[in-house]
Amino acid sequence: MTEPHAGEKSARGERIMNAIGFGLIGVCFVISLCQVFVTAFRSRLDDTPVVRIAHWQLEAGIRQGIDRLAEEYEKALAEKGKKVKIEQLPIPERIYGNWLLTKLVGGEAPEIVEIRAEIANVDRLARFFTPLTRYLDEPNPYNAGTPLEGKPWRDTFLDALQGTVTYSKELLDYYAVGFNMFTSRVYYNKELFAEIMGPDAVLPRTFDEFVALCEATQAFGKRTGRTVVPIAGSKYTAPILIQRLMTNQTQKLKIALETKYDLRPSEEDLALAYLEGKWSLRDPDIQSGLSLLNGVGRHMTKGFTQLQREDSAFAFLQGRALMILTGSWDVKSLTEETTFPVGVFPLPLPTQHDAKYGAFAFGQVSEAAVGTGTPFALPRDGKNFDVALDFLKFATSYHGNRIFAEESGWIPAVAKVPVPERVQAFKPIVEGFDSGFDLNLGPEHKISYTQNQYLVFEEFEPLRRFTEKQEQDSRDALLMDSKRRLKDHARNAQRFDSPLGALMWLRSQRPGDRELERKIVEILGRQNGIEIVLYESGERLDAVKP
Amino acid sequence: MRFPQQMRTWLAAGCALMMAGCGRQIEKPDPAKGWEQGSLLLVKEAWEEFDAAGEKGVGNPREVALGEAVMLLTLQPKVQSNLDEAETHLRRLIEEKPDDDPGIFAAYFLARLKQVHDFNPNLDEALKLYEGLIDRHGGHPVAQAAVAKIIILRYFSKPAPERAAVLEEAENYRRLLANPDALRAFHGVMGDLALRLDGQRQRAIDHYLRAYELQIPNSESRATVVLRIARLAEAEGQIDLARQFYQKFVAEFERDTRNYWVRQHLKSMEKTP
Repeated sequence: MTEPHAGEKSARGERIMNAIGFGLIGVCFVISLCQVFVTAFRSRLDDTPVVRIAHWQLEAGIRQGIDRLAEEYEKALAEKGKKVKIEQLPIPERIYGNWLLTKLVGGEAPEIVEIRAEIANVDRLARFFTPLTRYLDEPNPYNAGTPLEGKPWRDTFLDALQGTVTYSKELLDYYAVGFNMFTSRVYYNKELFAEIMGPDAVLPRTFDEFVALCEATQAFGKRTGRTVVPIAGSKYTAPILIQRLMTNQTQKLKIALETKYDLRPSEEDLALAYLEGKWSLRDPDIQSGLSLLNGVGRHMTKGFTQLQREDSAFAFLQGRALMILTGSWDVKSLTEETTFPVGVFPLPLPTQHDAKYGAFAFGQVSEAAVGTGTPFALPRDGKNFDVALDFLKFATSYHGNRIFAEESGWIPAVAKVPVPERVQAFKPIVEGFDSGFDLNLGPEHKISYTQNQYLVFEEFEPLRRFTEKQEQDSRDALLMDSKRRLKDHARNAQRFDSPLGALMWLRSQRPGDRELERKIVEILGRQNGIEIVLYESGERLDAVKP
Repeated sequence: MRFPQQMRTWLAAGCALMMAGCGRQIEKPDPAKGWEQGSLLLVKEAWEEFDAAGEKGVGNPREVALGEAVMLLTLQPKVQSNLDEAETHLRRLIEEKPDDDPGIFAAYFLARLKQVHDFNPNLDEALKLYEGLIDRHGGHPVAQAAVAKIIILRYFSKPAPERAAVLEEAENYRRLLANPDALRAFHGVMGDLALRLDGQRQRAIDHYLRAYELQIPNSESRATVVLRIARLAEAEGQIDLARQFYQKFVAEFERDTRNYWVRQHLKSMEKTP
């Protein structure tokens, strides 16, 4: 017997590997098939109403929070002799949009789904989701015996559901309810902080103290030879910081540029004002904002504009960064996955008393208008609508939201619900000013600003180089943005006419219907406002066109 | 690669069947359902309902023609043929009976077509149509909605120095408006336009005050009007009125991010005699 040739050996090995591969596929197929049959068989045997709740919140704590709510709800209904089952479907954020759209179009959407603006635009809201307005006008029965008893369900939310996703300004109806609120804070490594600043050091309360902390961290790194940066940065976390700093330095400029006596010039007004020469990138306010960015940017991870969200989180978790600025959604992940204790404090911003940056700022920004997050809506085709609606009422009642907040570590969305001790630092700051504006004044301008931003963080003449480059791009970009806005205004003025005609006709058939009246009044008011801005901006744009 | 003849026939038949399946067949069209769908911005579904009702002769033909025309205005994709068809329906409705509800609605939406829907808007024609509507049916709720449109179009048709005169003349429309909603819309538009003119701050204050008295249901709009009254009054030196409305703003709009600024401003006003 001769020894098998090397080629024959490898061919046999390949055949075996192929067989194993196909075998595995076969096994997986059979398991999947069994699972489908078992599920179908079970659902035939068991007539318990099932409500599925789909979302993309894979951060630590959220699934546990929803599981707790489901458990409590099932228990509460069981006590009343009713049997229901709440199932959670956590879907990765990357595929959530496409997954949900497929389900909605196929008429197979889960009973409750999380939505966001890009997923649920006005056409999809109208086509696929149930308006919740009439349910929100009534009290939430699960609030009986609580401080919220008797209040309309809508008014029990801290923002009265006025957010852009929960309330549709086009359809004039509420489509979702939120479970929580989000704010951003500085997370810091307590051990490292004590090592750098001493065991009795206090947290920075002013911007100068914050800068001093950053500088002390840099010096500590040099002194000890350890790789420690003050702030972990990435292209996900840096924009939060950049936006905070720039909008601080434009607080007074924004008020100076207002012409409509409401303290709030729109992005469109600001862009047109730039084109009209009413402000420029060379204004001391903007230069001061850029200088602030440059100063703080030097304390972030080198090359942060190219780093991913995970990179900054790892740098912090591994103790290579003292601080990271991110949202309250990361609280569980960042506090429970570290080997060191983590603390949280609000980013101190320059106030009007700041010697260097106070001339252009009012101070701390108000978070009073933070809207409710994680909005859940009810698809029209979802089965067991009544149970799904009832579960949402339970989840956003005083007790339900308290359970969710305690379990998830997220800030409650419902009024009077106590904020859990460990997330007290995330409680929205109500005593503060309106923010100024940053340089993302429209999609085209945002692109050019993002592309040129790296210059702000360079070492050699960063402000001059950035200003010159951005000036070359700003005018064309803002012209393009303004033209696009005009088209949007014209489209919005048009799009209201068909629903308005229908509502007016329905009113002629049902005189005295207050809901119809409300919608007609709101549409007409909005349409008139849009048409005034359309003609006014058109005139202003014509006057500045080259 | 060439498919055998038989397979090609089957493929063509399959495609034809699929395409036929794409169009929605409405067995029992219902104009009332069309209006409900239209009110929810489900324009395509509403148009199909009216179109099928028209073909099958269901419902009042004037109501159905109006419904079809109103939906064609915003039916996507926006094409000239849809606008032409809408215009034909609307003109016929006006010619046949200008004084019934479909006739009055048709006049309003023909003006809208000329003002904002046409690829080349004709603002002069839109203005004439709105004015004709007011002359003939001034008390009808649809005609009352045209008042604000007339004021806006006249205002922007004039150069800046002549705009104050447009507003002065527009004051006469107030007598026509019986419905509180239309009256509030009138005061809102007058305030918004006066605000943009030098020397017209007092007119803006007067109109915003009347709009405020008529109860503004939308809280965002109410906050803006309250703050504008305060800011305009302060600019006009009417400090008591300014203070009163700043205080209203502070009390009513606690969660507005401008609240803190207003509180600080009130404090500084108290310091100044």
